[in-house]
Parts: sequence; structure tokens; C-alpha cells
Amino acid sequence: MNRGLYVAASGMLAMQARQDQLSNDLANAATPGYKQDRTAQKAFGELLVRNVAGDQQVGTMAAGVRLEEQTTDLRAAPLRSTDEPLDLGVDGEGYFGVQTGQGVRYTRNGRFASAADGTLVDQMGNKVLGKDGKPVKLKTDGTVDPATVGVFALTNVVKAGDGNFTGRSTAQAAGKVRTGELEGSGVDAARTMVEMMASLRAYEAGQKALTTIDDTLGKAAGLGSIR
Amino acid sequence: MLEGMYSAAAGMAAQQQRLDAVSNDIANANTTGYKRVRVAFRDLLYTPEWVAAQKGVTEGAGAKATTVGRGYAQGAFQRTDEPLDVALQGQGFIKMKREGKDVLTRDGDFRFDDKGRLGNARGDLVEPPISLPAGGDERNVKIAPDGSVTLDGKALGKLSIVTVPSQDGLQPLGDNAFAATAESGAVRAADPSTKLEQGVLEMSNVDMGDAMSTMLESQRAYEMASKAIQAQDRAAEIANGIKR
Repeated sequence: MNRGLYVAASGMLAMQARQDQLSNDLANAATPGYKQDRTAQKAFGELLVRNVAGDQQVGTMAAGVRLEEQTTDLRAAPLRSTDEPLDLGVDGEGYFGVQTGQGVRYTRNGRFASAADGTLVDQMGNKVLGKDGKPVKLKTDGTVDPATVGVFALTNVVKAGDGNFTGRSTAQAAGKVRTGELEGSGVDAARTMVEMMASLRAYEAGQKALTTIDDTLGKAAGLGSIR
Repeated sequence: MLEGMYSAAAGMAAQQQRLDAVSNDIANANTTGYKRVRVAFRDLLYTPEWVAAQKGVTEGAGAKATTVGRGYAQGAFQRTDEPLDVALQGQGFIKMKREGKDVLTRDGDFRFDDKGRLGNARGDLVEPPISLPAGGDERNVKIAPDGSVTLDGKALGKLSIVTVPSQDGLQPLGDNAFAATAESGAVRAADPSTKLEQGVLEMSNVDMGDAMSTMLESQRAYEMASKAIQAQDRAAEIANGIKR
């Protein structure tokens, strides 16, 4: 019977982890090109419960939950106009490529700047890659020709932090680069808040289940006492 | 278990930084030649969630703001019809001397000082220097699109229109002036497409509507992150209630 304690506790732990992810989503509610995480919960597996005396099946019991199958919602957020010549947005499918110390990374966050050698860089100072895979050069008037900026099609996309993604790029994507526009954050604020409330309540329910089982166990422990 | 609290706090700090930048922009909405600050956001490190989760489930550490330089979008022109007001059309700066050092500005609100030298209200002088000959009338000064300054057809000098490879690497000095640094690269002549216009001033490129909506967006994002902290706090309280 005290298995129930662990089932309730595993539910609470999964909810806590979900809360941490939701906090991160809310912290990035205004981060351009940010993509929201979603997770599914799954049961650990089910146990077959048998009647000890008659060896009869009484049914199955779940042994707790855990978070599984994290997916990043990679749908494009709307572009908004900023009128800044070095703000770039991808209209449609595809990612910008940046050369980082750890290799090529991909991003949808097009808030770029200029470097002293006249190339286009991201906010971390990484060089933005062109269609030919070489760093993008700025024009002499300080603007960038959108046709030279590479837009890469990506498979196996995984978040790598710093606004970047890793993945395998096979070809140029169909998306068009627009200057003076920036992609918004993919965080759906209302939905995230609702999920946060729901997850908090589920956490609370887990705690209630825990304390109830504890009460029952306390009663059982008190049975043998003679008054 | 408090990771989420810290990632939400990081998000609040990032929004605070943008609010500071926007406040500064709004305060300078009427400053001639002012360029708005560009703040960039990014998400941070992702670490694997190790309890109650399968491999591949990660938690992010929040958001961070970085200033990536100034927005060099053209400001609106205001016609003043003052002969010594000039505005730059296109990317670039006018080179000036401030306390012996070269500085760059887009603020073309010029005047002749008591010694007849062309400069601005702060006392910065144009570089190379241009002086008004004794008895000359400043109302007859003509400034050509390429920066040549003439008085009644006689050449007085030429304003130097320059730029740097990376405007984002310039160091702001205050009073609308910038200095070249190693990050900006060396000062060179501006693209020939950059022209001077006489009798107008370039206004600040801060768009009030835009600044206001950015401010509201930041404020809401700040609020939401603070709600996340409250939820985490509530979760900690619930956890605390397990043992009575």
C-alpha cells in the first residue's frame, strides 16, 4: 500500500520539472525566434496486482509518471517590422547559419550587428553565414543584401541555447530573408500561464494524495495500540 | 528544484535591461541625431532534466539581454532653414574634434563660435577646421551635399563625412558623439551615397509608438516571469506541507 506514496511523489517530481520548463518559456516571452518546449507525460509502466490469498488478478496499477518525448514547437512566429537595416527575419521555412566555436549553429533570431572586419555577426559575435557558407559581408553603406544571406533547411532540430539550434542541414530552404523585420517569440503567453496553473494544481493534488496515504498509514500504525 | 525560479529571474533581469534602454530612448525622443539602442535577447543553456524524466527532456536557464549597438535607421528631417544646420542622408558621421580627440557625430546643429570657428554648442569643432573670415555673413554660407563649405562662392573648407566598418563597435561618449575603437575598426570615408543637406536637422530615430509598445511588451513579459516565480514559490510551499 505504501507504493502509493511513491506514485504520488513521482507525479510531483514530473510536475516540478514541467514548471521549470514553463518558467523558461515565460522568461523568453519576448526573445525573438525563441521556440517553446512541449512535453508529454507517460506512466512508468503498469504492475499487475494479484490477490495474495487466491492468486486472482485484481487489475493493474500505474507505478508513477515521468516526462517523456520533449518536442520543440518549431512553427514560425509572425515577423514584425523594426526598420533596422541589420534586423533580419526568415519569411517561411529555414534558419540562419552562424559559425560558433563549437561548429555551425542555426538560429531564427535575426538581430544581427556589424563587426570591425565588415562582416555580419550575431549578438554573441559569431559570423553569419551566406549562401556560399562563407561569412556575409556588409555593403559599403553599412546595410546587408538579403540575397547573400544563407537560409538553411534543417532536420533533427535540437535547441542548443544562446538562441541557436543544432541540426543537419541538407540544402537551402525556401524561406525568404527580409531586412528590417524580426521574428517574434514563439511563446503563447496565455497557454503557458494556463499550463502553469494546471501543473501547479496537479502538484498540489499529488501532495494531497501523499498526505492522505500518510494519514491512512498512520491509522494502520495506530491499530495495535490498546487504550 | 528551484531552477525554474532562477530562469524566471533571469528573464526578469533581461526585461529590466530592455526597459532601461527604452526609457533612455524615450528621454531622447527629441535629441537631434540620437540613435535608438538595440537590445537583443537570447535563451540560455539547456541542461538535461535528471529526475522524473526520460533522456532528451531538458530545462532552459532563462533569458539574457545584450546591447548590440545602435539602430542606424534614418531619423526624420526637420527643416530649420538655418544656414549652419546640416543633416546626413545615409550611413555615416561628421568628423569633429573634442578636447584634441577625433569624435564622430550625426548631430549637425552647427554654429560659428566667438573666434569664428565652425563647431557645435558643446564646443566641439569640425575636423578639419573651418573658419568664417572676418566680416563674412554666415547667412551666405553654402554647404554642398559632399560637405564643401563656401562663402559667396569662395571655398572655406570641407566637412569630412566618414564612417567605420562596424558602427555597433563605436563607443558612445555622450552629447551625441562617438569614438572609434578596435571593435569598430578605423575611420574611413563614407559611401558616396551619403549626402549632406543644408538647412535641415536629423531628428532622433526613436519612434514613440514603437518605444511605447516595446515598453508595454517588456512590462508584461516581466510580469509573467514574476508570476512564474510566484508559482515556483507556491510549489515549494506545497512541498513543505507534505510533512506536518
